[in-house]
Amino acid sequence: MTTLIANELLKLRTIRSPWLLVALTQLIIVMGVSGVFIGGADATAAGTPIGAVGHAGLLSLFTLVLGITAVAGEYRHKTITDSYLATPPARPTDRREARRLHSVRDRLRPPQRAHRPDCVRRVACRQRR
Amino acid sequence: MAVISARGLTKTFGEVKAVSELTFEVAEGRITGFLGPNGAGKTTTLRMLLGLIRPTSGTALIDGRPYRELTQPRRVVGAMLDADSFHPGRTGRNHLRVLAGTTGVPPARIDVVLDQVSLTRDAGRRVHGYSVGMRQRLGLASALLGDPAVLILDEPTNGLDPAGVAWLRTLLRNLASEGRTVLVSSHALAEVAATVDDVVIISGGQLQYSGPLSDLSHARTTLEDSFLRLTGSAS
Repeated sequence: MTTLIANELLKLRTIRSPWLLVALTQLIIVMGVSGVFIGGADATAAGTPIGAVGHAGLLSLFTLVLGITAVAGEYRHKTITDSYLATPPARPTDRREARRLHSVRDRLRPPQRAHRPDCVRRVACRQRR
Repeated sequence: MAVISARGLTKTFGEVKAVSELTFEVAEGRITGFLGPNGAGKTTTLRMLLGLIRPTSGTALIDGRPYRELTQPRRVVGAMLDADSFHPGRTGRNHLRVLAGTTGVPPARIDVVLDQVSLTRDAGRRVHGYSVGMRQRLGLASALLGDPAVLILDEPTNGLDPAGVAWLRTLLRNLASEGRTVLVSSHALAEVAATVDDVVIISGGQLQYSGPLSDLSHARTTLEDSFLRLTGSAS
């Protein structure tokens, strides 16, 4: 798993668009902060710092763009085939194994009292036990 | 010994039966040509062998196991399905670095395969500046990266100039002489006739012939004649 994550990071590092996004993010932050002060804001006023970085939250949208371009790019450039060849997707045997593990888990689970529709009143139930 | 075997391989896409009850074997250490007209089901079959498409019925085995059950599959099978499956902004070397990570081979192997396909000098260039031939070479380098015993190549001669085709023929011959098994699909029949040991011919998703090339083409009958007769394309 660590290898796969390291490899995804390598994929991002070896193309230009993620670096451009990072650079653009920095640029927008600097522009936003500078803009407030160029506009003559009072640096000592309580609301100024909040106003200066108020736009930074929007930059999280860039993360979204990064994710979309990274995944969509795999399909667009057909490199997804290489990913599947190196790490084949979930196999039917995996699913069978999962079902088997689920049935083992169900067997190991502490037995739950069977629902008995006729055992409504607590006294009647106790008498039966 | 059969390294690749398809048994009763069938794939339907809705109403369309792309591959029907296909059974053939590819012997170890030999080059096998996989031939068929357009839409015969060649790529679908290769994709089923590689676990990229799940067969409707039948089995596709490599070394006796389905591709999906191979541990470190790229070290067993090297595949080139599409000669243009690269990020255009990534350099050839970086493309191989990415693959080396998931293939489980040391970075030193990258230089070996780049040298093998004569791409060392251009490895630092971005792929969008590569010619068709260079992309084919990079695709082959990707397939060879895991030093696999089995190679599956889909139309590797597409877009290659005569020098490139001759180079590929020598490369495949060398790989087979090292004991590797090569399954190669192609339309270039003259080229196939000069390169392969065995042929598998399919048409309409069904097997038409599987066996040695020598049984199919001899003095008076060329591979092209046999191909056209078997696939019903003769005019």
